[in-house]
Parts: sequence; structure tokens; C-alpha cells
Amino acid sequence: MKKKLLLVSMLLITQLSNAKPTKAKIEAVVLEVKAEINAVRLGILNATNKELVTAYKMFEDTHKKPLRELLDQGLKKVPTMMEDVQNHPNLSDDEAVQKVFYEYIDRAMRLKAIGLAKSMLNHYEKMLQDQNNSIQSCDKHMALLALLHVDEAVDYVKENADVFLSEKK
Amino acid sequence: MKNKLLLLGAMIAMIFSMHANYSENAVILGDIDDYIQNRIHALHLTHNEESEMLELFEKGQTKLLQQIFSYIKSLFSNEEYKKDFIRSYQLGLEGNDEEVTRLGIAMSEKYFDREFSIQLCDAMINYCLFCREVVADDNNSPEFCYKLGLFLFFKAIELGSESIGLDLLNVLNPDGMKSEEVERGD
Repeated sequence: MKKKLLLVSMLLITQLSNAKPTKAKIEAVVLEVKAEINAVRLGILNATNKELVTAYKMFEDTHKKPLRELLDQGLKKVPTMMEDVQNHPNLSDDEAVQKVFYEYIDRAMRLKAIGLAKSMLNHYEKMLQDQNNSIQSCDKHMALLALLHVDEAVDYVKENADVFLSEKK
Repeated sequence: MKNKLLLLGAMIAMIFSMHANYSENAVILGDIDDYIQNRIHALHLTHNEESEMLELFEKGQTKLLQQIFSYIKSLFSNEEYKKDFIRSYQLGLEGNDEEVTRLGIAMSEKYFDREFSIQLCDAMINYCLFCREVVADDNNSPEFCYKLGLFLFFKAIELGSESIGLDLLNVLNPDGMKSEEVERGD
């Protein structure tokens, strides 16, 4: 499941880092990812609206703000990052994205990302320790929470499509 | 986001790939070693970097991972688990990713007890803390941190294959099927 989410987010980053994106292309990628999220939520997790609302409340209360801050930090680097990807004509798209990615993600972003992951895991552990929760409900809640992170990230990309479209002269 | 999911997903993805997604990563037994070596080779590590990362892996992760794999190994003595495992493997060979994922989730719910789930969670939190220490250390470049994250992921898969490899082969050949047939997906 999380592996699938990892692949989805990598697809998003790779697609958006390719040469000359258009608004239509960005929207198409966003729709593709959202469709995948829905497919997992409904088709695989069989989550009810109530379960989704509970996960969304948790996400809103504790994760949305730090996630947005992390995305804000990343967004500032996007224009030059995309230009740098083009500056590696000898590398494949994947290799160029990888090379630029680790050059641009700074220490503060890494620490924030680890903090988010740790916060999710602490929440998961607390849920598991509560005997009133079944393991299934804990797992489903965490999977929904992870989906909401990806959903928020694609919304953010859509909101800031202009940054991805602007070309540095 | 990619970085966050990499950190969070690495260990859970590892568990899932150990029991559900063999076709996806071409980690059929005989290929595991090649797969890992190729992926590590693609990181273009210097000899010193590889030694340092290996030391960090052995220091911080090995014991925890061995405990986790030991639990997974014990599941192979459960006939029902074996049946579900073979089914997920066959679905993987057929390329039915959605069903593999669905079955993988159902299996983790059915066979991973609360104690194991907490143990796995602890291992992941420790992994996060370990990453935090590495990243916060000014001596480590962003490139080193990034490569270390991938290196640890691949080494974890390798350790898993070493820990449960033979048991896995026995499970996949319950009727004396030749291993070559399994590898070809016949």
C-alpha cells in the first residue's frame, strides 16, 4: 500500500520535472493521482465516510500545517530545480531528477520530513497500544492518513501550477 | 513529499515486498542478489562511503530487522499463511497488482498481531531517529544522506532474503515443483 503511494508520489515528481509542462499536463497528472487515491480508498481499503472523516480530522489538526510548510519550502526551489534537470542532457530523466533532487532538498526540509514521519508513527503506536482499537482499524486509519498527505500535496501542486509553468529566463 | 514517503514507506514497503510484490521488483529468489547489487551499484558509492554506510546499517538496523524477519519466518509454519502467501505470489506473477495489494493488506491484518505491529512501529521510529541523527550531522552531505536512505532500504531487502530465503523457497515449492519453473512463472 505505502509502496504504491511512494510510486504515485514519485510519478508525480518525475512527471512534473519533465521538460516544459503545460497547465493541462499538470492537471492531468493531478487527476491521475487523485483517481489512484480514490481507487485505493474505495477499492482496496473499503473505507467508510466516517472512517475518512476521522482520519481527515487527525490530518487537519496535526499534519496539514507542517506538511504545507514543507511543501512551501520545496516550492521555492522548483523553478531552478526544473531548469537544472534540463542541464543534464547526458542523463536519463530519472537520473537527472534524482541528481537534482538530492542537491536541492536541504537539511531543514529533511529534518521536517523526518519529523512528520515520526509524528505519524507515534500516533500509530499510540493507537495500537489502545486495546479498544482493532489492529485493522489502526492500519486502515494510517493508510487513510497517508492518502490524505498525498491528496493534500497534489492539491498544493494544482494551486501553485504557475510556479511549475514559469520558465527562468 | 518523496523524501517523506521514502522514509515512512521504506520499512513497510520492505515488508510488503517480502511477502507480496515479488514480480514487481524482480526479487524472485535467484534474482535478489543481482537486483540488490545492481541498485547499490547505481548509487555510485566510493569504497569509503560503502564501508561507512554498511557500518551504520549494522550498528543501527540489523538487530531490529532480524527480529522482524524472524517473526515473518515463523509465519511459514502456519499452513493457512503459506496458502495465502502462495496465492499472493501467483497473483504477482500474473501481474494482478491490485489484487496483490488487497491480499497483502488482508494478510498483514490477519497474521501480524498487535505485538508485532508495535515492534514494527518501534523499528520505524528508531529508523526515523537514526535518519534525524544522520541528517543533523554537519559532516554528512545531502548527497550522502540521500544515498544512505536508499542503501539502507536495499540492504534491508538483502537481509530479509538471507533471513527467510530458504524457507521461502520451500513454501514456493510445496509439491516439489522445480525452482526453474517457479522462476519462469510456469
